[in-house]
Amino acid sequence: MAGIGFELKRIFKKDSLFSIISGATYSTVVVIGPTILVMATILATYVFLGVSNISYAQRELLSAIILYIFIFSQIITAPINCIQSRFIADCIFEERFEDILPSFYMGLLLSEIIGFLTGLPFAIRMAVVGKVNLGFVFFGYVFFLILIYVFYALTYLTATKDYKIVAMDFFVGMVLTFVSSMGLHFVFRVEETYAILIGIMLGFFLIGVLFVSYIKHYFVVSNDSYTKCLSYYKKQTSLMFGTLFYTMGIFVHNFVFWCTSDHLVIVDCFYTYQSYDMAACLGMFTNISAMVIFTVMAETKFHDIYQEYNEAVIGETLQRIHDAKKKMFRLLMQQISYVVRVQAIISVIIFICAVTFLPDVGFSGLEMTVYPALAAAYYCVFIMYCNIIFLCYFNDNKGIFLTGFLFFACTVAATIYSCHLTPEFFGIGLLLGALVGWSYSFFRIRYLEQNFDYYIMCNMHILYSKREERPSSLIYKNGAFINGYTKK
Amino acid sequence: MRICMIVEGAYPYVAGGVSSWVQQAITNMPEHEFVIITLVASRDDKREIKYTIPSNVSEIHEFYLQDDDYGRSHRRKRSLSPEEYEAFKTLFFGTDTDWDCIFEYFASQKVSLDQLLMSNDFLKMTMEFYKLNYNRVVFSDFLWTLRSIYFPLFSVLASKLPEADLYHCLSTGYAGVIGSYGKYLYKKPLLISEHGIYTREREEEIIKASWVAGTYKDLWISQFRKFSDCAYKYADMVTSLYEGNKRLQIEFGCPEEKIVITPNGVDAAAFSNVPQKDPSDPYINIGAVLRVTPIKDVKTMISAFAIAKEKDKRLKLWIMGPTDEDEVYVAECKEMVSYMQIEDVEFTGRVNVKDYMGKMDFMVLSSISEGQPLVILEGFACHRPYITTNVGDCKGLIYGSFDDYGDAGIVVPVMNTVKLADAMLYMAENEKVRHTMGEIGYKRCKYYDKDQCYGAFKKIYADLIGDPSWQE
Repeated sequence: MAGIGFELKRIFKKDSLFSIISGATYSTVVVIGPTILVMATILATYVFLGVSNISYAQRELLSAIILYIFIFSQIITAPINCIQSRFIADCIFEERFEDILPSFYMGLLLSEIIGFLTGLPFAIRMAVVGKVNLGFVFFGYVFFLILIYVFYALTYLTATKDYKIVAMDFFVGMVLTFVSSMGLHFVFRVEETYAILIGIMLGFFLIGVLFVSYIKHYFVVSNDSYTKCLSYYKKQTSLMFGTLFYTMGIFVHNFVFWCTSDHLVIVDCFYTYQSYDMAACLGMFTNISAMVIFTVMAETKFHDIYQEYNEAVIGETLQRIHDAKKKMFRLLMQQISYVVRVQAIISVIIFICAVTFLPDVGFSGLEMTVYPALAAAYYCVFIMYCNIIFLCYFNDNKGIFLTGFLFFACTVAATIYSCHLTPEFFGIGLLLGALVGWSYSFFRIRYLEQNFDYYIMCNMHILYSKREERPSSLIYKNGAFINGYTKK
Repeated sequence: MRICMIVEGAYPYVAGGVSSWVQQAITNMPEHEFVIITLVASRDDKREIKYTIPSNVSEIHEFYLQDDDYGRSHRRKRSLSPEEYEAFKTLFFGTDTDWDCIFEYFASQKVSLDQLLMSNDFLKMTMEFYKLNYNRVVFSDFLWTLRSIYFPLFSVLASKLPEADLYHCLSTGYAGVIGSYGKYLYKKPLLISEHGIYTREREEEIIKASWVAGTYKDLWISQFRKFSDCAYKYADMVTSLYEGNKRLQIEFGCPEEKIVITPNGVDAAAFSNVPQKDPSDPYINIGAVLRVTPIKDVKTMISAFAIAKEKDKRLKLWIMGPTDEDEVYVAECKEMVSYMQIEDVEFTGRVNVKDYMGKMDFMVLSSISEGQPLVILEGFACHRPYITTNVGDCKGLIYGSFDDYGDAGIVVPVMNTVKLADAMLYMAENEKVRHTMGEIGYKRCKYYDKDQCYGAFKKIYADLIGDPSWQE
């Protein structure tokens, strides 16, 4: 989200109630607007097409396929995006703008190949084992590939720092989704499930087209060296896996519950646990404002202080470097504690509202029993996410990897245990995983603070390091030059 | 006896000076086996062998001042022990360095230069020193300067040193430290034979250098002083070409009792039948045997010749020596000749001096730095007087350090065009004086005899190794 700070600073320049409301709205629209917009559109198509009236099997198949596509496209693109994102950042810093567009194509090819290969067995299973209509399988598969593309391209679009365009493109895409779904059903008499699936696919396809046109318009020059970015996958392996584990950690507790005996199996392919999944969704939305708060703070204040520190390292005395470091970490701790406090208040308010009002609109029973623990768990997940972003600022790939891994591993282990407990404690698995990840990332930041001089000034290589033994220094022996010595 | 000779930036890639001495020493001591360690900048540099390698050279090793880091897969990251920390600290910033500890550090493990220079220990000691002495300069500059100062030293110490019966360094500096490392590793004697005074030369170079910021000149200079401290401390014997150098060595911390004066030597007989000047040659030929490089100050010589040539049209200048070491400088010299429209200046390139020296009427050496130039002795061997600048032991050679025969030439101040031109004109106009000076020079050669010189080294080798059989 680098760059929204400029806009926010402009908005917050006037210290008025209006500017605060404008800033908060802008941040919300930019950070979580597209997510909310997509969910609202899907919900709207469900309502307007009367999905509640179609058969349970069809309805659940549609919901499951959409759920799976969103989850797995995120898991596939997240590790690729983080690498591409770092590559873009370096290109921009080193002013190698001509490398960006080729890297876009290479990353796209990579993500689509992975998406194609991972999605194919699933699509075949749907068709062969699940006996799902081939058309439905085809549209689902295409939608999966399109969504991978959109999530991938989003990284490049955020690099342009034009967040209004992102929000606008999503808006246009979702309008098309709604309109096409309605048109397909009411004009062309297409079945509701097909109409919704094709509508969403078309909407995201349009978003993708708008994204690529903007990216090509923005990054005009290209040197056609497509493979340059690939070296980053080798250099930044820990970052890639850290991100992969973090993203999987967000969903892995669902996967564990999908494997329990109370799960729902749809067409022998899709495993879900509706009450738990819904509670998880509520838990996530209870805390998602943490991302908005954090992004606003990090982009408006921390980014500048971090820049100040970097400039001090390059051209200041040690005293000034240490002063800048103290200032930076003081602010960092202030921001972490601010997010923790403010988000706690927001989460509690939303939680009280949820438990008060949601039963009246149909949420009851198991969902609401599971919800409290998951609300607490997602609170920790988002706070941990803030720490991960700080670790990203410091290029601490090791810290990111270990945070992601600990979060993932502990969530898996604890969820395997918690799924055997009473429903109130189902969410304990994610909560424990997030607590471990959060704690580790926090202490990692403290560790970095204590060793920051070493970390910034020494944590790099100055020499080309080779695996092989040092070659013999001998160039001449008993009357002859050796070792292919040809300098004579 | 297996002798390991360690040379920096010279043999067998650079002709003249120290390289010539090495070639002659090895050739004159066929009874010994020689292993050469030649210090060069990096693996990738292009180099050309300038000498025919004598048959008693069994091995030549290249040690690189800048090299990659090897053996990554076999290393563990480890901190320095308290003793090592103190030793490195004194190497970087203190005095009285514990070189034994540093040598042991490199000898006991495969050292990663990358890990050492980027270690927390290195950063900590840099910070300590910075806070005490440099706290107003940009820290990152300071840190990187220190890394660049020590990288070449660590790079050569990380190389595997061949075993020998005796280590003979042709200078202090990096060569001296490697020789000391050899002595530490294999408990074998160490000889330092200095032709110039390495530390003084580096000091002069650093003071003039634009690539070293003013703040850091002291740091660089103090490091080279530490290297010479190490070499002088470990050396069993140090040789010097003449008294002046000996005094400088003592000044730089070498114990006087270790120093022996061993002047250069020339094989005068080898010059006895050199071709002489054609009587019909109308020119008065001035010979300059030197590498065309800034340190030889060829430009001052050309300027002086231009002045002299204006007054005496018979003069002709022969610049004899390699022109491939500093091609830019060579081009500038040639451009100067052409721009100033100076007639009768010949750049012969690398030649066999014996083919030319006898044809010269007198010789010139315009260097701004020298030790005890062999070319002057070769000129003397050809009965030719020399005009030289007052550097190194030139004065001793011209006026006589060991005799009272008289002047074998004229000594002029460094970079003094007018005095050099006057000396050229004086020589040109006074044939009789030239002849007299040439004969004095020839007589003086006996004090700088090749056999005496290399005989002295044979004795030193035998003494150091404890072998009395050399006299038999």
